[in-house]
Amino acid sequence: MTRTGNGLKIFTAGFLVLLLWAILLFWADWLCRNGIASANSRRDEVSVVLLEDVDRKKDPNFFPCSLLVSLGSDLPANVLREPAWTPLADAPRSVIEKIATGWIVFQYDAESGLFECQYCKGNLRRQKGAAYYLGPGGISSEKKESLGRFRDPFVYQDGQWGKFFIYDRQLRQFFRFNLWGMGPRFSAGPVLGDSIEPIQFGSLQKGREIVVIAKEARRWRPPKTGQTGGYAGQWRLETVPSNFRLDTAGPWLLMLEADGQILRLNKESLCIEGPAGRLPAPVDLFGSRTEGRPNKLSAYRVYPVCREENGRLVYYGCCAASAAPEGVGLAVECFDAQGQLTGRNLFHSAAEDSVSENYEVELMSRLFERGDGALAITARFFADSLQPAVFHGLSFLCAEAIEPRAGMRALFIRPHSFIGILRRCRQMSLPSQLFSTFLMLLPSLFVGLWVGLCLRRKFLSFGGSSRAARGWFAAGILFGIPAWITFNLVRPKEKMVTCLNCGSLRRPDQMSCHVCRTGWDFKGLESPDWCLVEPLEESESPVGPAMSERQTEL
Amino acid sequence: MWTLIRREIEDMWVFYLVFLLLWVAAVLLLASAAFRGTEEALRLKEGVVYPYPFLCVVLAVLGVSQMYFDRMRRLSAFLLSRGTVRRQVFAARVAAGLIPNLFFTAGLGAVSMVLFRNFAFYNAAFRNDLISSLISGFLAGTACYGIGLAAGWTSSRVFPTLGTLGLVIIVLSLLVIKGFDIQVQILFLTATVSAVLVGWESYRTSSL
Repeated sequence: MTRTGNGLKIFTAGFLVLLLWAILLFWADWLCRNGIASANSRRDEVSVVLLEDVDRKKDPNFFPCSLLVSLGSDLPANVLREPAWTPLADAPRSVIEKIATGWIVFQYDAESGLFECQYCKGNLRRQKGAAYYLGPGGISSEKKESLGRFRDPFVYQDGQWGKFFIYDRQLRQFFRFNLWGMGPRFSAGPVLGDSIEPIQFGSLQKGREIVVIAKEARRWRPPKTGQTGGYAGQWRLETVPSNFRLDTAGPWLLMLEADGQILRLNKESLCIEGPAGRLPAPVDLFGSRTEGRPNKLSAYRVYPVCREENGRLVYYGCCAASAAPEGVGLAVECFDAQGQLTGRNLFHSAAEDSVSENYEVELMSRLFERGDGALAITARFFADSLQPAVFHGLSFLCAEAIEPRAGMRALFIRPHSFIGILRRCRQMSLPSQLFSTFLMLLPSLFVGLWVGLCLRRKFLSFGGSSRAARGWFAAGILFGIPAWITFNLVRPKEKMVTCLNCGSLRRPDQMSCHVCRTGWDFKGLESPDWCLVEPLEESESPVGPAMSERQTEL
Repeated sequence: MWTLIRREIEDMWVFYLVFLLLWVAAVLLLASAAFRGTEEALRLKEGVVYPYPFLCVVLAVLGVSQMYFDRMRRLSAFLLSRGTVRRQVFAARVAAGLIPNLFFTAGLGAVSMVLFRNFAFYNAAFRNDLISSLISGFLAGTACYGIGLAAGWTSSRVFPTLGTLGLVIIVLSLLVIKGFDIQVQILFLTATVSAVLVGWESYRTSSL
């Protein structure tokens, strides 16, 4: 084998092995992670008192309206149906809705910079021309220059079809189009100030398969509201009352900013009226509180809560839930209509009937205590230690730069490994982070060192050069077990033969023995042509007559 | 070269028959979904994507069979005595493996485009989605075929069968992890190149 061909084979086989190894470790990690998450979701542990009607508090039949929040699997059940791992950046630019008589298609045309609204009667097979063209300048049934151009818009459909809100990131304006009723209507809001940077509005969510809020609770215990007694010991089948709505904020439109603030937007004036709350900051696997920013969370969901009173919707507040970057910790907070924390976001412990304000920490600590949670975390650390050390180092460096949802499907550089989580701990200083990382890296380093030493010894026994042996040693340390598998795939397959000179195994395809440097023309052991002892008499020769004859010849 | 490719196809004609049957089944699946009057483009997309795992398994088995029977029957030794070189034999083998995948993907793409246009909602987003799914499926097939080539050059009987099947499952799970986007396409492409090069190096450096 030529030197180049050998290098190519090592490189290609190494990459293939590394890829397969990374996929296997990903699934091992996923299984462990879902072991932790399912322990939470099975028990329906996090429940939140959403709001409580003070006037009806004395009613013996009254119970607080509650929501149920839990963590589900981070892998969609159907990859084709659920656009898996939808990043936040994919703000919607089209709405397709089926109505009783046909389909409504509202989509953005990047070439013209206009939204096209089509109505397809019956089915979508035959698309007609657009019924309306919508631009920042208004609505028209034809494309016109006066309509202007949207530059970077995203759209939200409010309630029934025909009501669309559009925000353009570059124009920094909200627009409202109402195609329902007495002809199309259009209005534009004021240009937003530089301090406000909406990234989502209307439906505020990311990673809907992670945070699940059950509107209709199954058989579960209602959360306590602080007083003793209450519902302890009772099991009731409860649902959210039918006059509550969790899909609209009534006269407002909720809007999320990049820093996690939730604001209220007036649907009529398209002006920002005030705060509505903020995304809660969950704790991670190590109990450290993470940032409640949309791009730092693996999932979040905000539910506005409205109640129908006398035919109109009254906004009561909102419930915000968010999951930690690695998708394990969960935090839930509720806010009133003015955006103030209600203080009723209680963690209800089903096991002990206790109420804790510090619910996230308690959730995590109890997950650790649980048998399956502890087992899953241990197994996860074990699988983590089999990851090559070089990727651990890169994970440490890139942990904060990678978006959490993108990190969930990462194969090589994994920001949600233990080292990555450690790197994100804001409560720890850099030296302590480095020290803890080193401690966590020790198993990987030990595995790598052991593999490296094995590879070096084995490579030298195959007659490899010491320089290449050093390369295999380094590869063993950096890549660990994949390097060992690669070596066994690409190592010389020739059967070794015994060297006639030194007796050790040597390669048949090399000119000389790699131990004693003897060539193939070596005939065997020969007696030296000198002698230390005096020649003996012929009769006293201890080696017999044949040897004596040879000595005589010499 | 064409003679070598034809010889490979004639040797492995059973696999090509399986490819044809698979393609017909996929088209029938698509057509039935379309003629039932479904409005969901998603249903058609499922019809496009679901045949690919089967195709990948068949392609991997094809790769294994090409290399394994070559080694067992000493086909290359015979061919090299007829004035060919190893590079030509291997290239013809790879071409004979890529041809069914290419025809399968192109045919399925054409049929699904027609069905999309006539029986389902069709716009640029769906078209891009469909094209990326087809490209990912094609590259997954080539990666599995390459793994079959790399794993098939052995005298063992266990690894080419069970081992290759395991590797194909692992590789295909990339689609579940990463979806059908550009990342998975790059990974599949790199895996294909790596696997084919490993197979080539094993084939080139072996004594026949």
